[in-house]
Amino acid sequence: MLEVKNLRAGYELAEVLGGISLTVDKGQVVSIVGANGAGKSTTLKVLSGLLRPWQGSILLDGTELSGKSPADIVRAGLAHVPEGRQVFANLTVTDNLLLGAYSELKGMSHHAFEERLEEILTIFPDLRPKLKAYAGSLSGGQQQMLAIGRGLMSRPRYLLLDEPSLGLAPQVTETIFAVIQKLRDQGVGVLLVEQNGRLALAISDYAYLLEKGRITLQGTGQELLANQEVVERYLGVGAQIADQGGHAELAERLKRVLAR
Amino acid sequence: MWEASNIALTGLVTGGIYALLAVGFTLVFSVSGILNLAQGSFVTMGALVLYTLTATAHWPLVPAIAASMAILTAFTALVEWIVIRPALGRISHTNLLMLMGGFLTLYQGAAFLIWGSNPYSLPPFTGAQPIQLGGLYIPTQSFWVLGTVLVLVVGLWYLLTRTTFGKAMRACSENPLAANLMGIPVQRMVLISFTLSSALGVIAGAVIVPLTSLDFGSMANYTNQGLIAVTVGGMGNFFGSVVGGLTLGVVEQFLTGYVSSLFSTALSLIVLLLILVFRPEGILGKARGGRADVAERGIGRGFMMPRIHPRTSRVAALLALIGLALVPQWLAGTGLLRAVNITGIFALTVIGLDLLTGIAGQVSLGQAGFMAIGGYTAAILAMKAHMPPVLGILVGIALSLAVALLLSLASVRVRGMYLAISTLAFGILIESLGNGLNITGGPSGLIGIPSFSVGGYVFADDTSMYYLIWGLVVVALFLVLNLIRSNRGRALRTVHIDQTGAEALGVNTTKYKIQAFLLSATLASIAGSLYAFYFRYLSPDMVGSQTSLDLMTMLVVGGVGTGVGPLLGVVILTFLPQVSQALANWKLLVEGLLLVVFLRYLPGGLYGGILQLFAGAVSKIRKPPAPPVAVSSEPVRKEMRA
Repeated sequence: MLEVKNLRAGYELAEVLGGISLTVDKGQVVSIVGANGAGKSTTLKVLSGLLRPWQGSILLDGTELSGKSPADIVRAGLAHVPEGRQVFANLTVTDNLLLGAYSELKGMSHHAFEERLEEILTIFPDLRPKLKAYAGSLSGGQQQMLAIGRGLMSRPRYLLLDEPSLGLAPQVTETIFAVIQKLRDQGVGVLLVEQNGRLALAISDYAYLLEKGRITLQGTGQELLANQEVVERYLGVGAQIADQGGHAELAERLKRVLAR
Repeated sequence: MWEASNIALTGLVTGGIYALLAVGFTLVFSVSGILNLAQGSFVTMGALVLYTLTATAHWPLVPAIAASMAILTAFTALVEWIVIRPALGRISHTNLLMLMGGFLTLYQGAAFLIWGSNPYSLPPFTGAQPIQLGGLYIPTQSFWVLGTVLVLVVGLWYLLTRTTFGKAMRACSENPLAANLMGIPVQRMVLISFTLSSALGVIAGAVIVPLTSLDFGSMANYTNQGLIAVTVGGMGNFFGSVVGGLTLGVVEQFLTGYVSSLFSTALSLIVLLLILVFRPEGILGKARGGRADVAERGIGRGFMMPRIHPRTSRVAALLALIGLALVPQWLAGTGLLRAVNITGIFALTVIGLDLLTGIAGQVSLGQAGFMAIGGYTAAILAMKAHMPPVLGILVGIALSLAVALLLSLASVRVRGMYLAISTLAFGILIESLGNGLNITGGPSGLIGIPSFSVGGYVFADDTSMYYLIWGLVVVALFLVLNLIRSNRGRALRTVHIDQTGAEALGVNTTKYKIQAFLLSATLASIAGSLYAFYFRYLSPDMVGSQTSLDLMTMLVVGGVGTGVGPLLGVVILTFLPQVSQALANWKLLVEGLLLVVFLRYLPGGLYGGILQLFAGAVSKIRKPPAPPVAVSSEPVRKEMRA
């Protein structure tokens, strides 16, 4: 269980997070939705150790993570796939994946590494023919798969995903979301930040609405989707029209994919 | 045939050392984005420490090399830990470049104080008898050099491309944020890159010192050569750096052997300038990827300059003018007026530099180059063509403007750190022309330049020169202060703060940048001419690349972009060393230290600091301080470098 209690953080003098609490259980997909600047990405940065919190605790299965270095946090079983993919463009796909397991490479046998690599390639078969290619030469969708795959190389029990569908074609988004579901089924806890709130809520077990650094609403994904205010303010005006096609249809297709 | 072979061999040996320097540059640059201008100092420092240990303390060679490496890498690690690590991500890459320039000066100053200005050499490792193959003479030491280079290059290549550690290092260079998230300790990698590159420098110094002689001045030379090599090869490109270094060494030796050393230096610097402007990724570099953050001005909190009340500043200005008018009376008979005049000459240049760098944000590390153009032109015309000094000054200005226009075109293409290196190269180019040409009198300079005169009046004594120089300083300062507060000044500031944003608002950034370059070059050119007429003597090192760095230090110490502030810096760094020889000996060391300290901790310079103190005192008298806004019970922590 990833438990965040009363977390406060910010940059210099500006407070961004004003005491938020949330939990992600294993085998759960939890979403954070909210407007630009609400503090969604900052939350993830604090959880992965990129930004030190001012106050509050972050417990990962009972271990305190607050104030630890990113390396320690990865080792503890929490991986962060940052917004905008951030692959190492001038390294090969294999090397990118290798570095994903950096924190545990000491003492890891070649065989164990190959095994992990194989796991990732089973999840993202599209990467297999690209192993020797430079990451910079991959398409946007492949780079996102690589970024997630790289995050999974440390075999995290909890995964932070920042805007995984940003700038991707609907079909690729579908693949990525299917993977998120698959990870959930394998028992990984996923904390998801998505600009595509409707889609995120549709697959979320639980969700938090973040407004100006505070959690103002929480509930199951369906509850938030059913909330008129949330729909109007964060999922876009004219959401009803969108429901006729677009995302709603995509969410339906996803559900069907997952039901298989 | 044999001659060419001998030259090629010397070229390879020199090139090997350049390659090690370039690799050192590349290592640090790719991991941290810093162009370590102090790289060349490790070669000399290593050799000098080695000299002391072997020749003075009679240590055997191998432990002596190990000890000099241990001393210098430990010092580098300390510097990285105390100064560079906290600065990374806080100050722009251009300022980091200047910071490293400060360290270069600091090391030069330390070497000067410890070892003096004598050159040192050591006996070859394995006998002085060269091996003869037909007409080819191979000093045994060259085997040591080439062997060392080979071993180090292959070892580093293996480390960087074949080991996970090396891949992690490259990952840091590409994307520090993502590397951090993978659990790669980015800060430690920066530390390792710095210590590794300083160790490379020390080894290079140890193997080359038997073939040459080194003094504190050779630090800058090695930095320059390494810089050229790494720029040709592509910053951050390992193999490019090696090839760039070897090529530079061989080409340099052939050009020196068959044409002239001036031609070789000038050509390599012109090539460097062209590459920086037209292909900054290097000839062998890849266009893809690399560090994008260093080209544009990076992070940096804005420094809020407290405002002085207009009435206060008018009174202060009036008092200052009266004071200035009376200075010759006060100093009569003390002999200090000469130092005051030299201070004025530099003040004139720094006022222009403040406009260019402080206001318009175009960092120039070659401003003394314009002093040289103005000085030599006016002096040569007065001596050889008996042209009236005023006319000579005008011709000097015209020439400076033409050159400044060329250089400012570079600023249209490159920004930030790359522009700073381009101007550095320009300054070195002008200095090497001064050293190499006959018409400038070579390294010993021009002697017997006539005094400045207008019509029949000769400015022969210090007092008349005082009024001329400081009159010009007052006029220039008045013009620049007015310009800063005009619409044009605001436009220049937008170029500094956010060039892309300024363009989006319709500011013609190209026009303003060129104007700032031209104006600052004009002031520097006038100052250079006056320098020549006043001293009646001009040598390349008076207006060389070290002087350019001096000027920048004066600006930084005084207060970048503050108009009046830089004068304080000029007084500290020109006047004080002029009046005391003891201070002059410490000048380089103190200057380097000041540059580092001010860039890192006092962005407003002395002037900003004084104003802040003053403003703080005034606000305390006038009203009780507002209660601090409670943000957190804990001290505010800053974001970790990602």
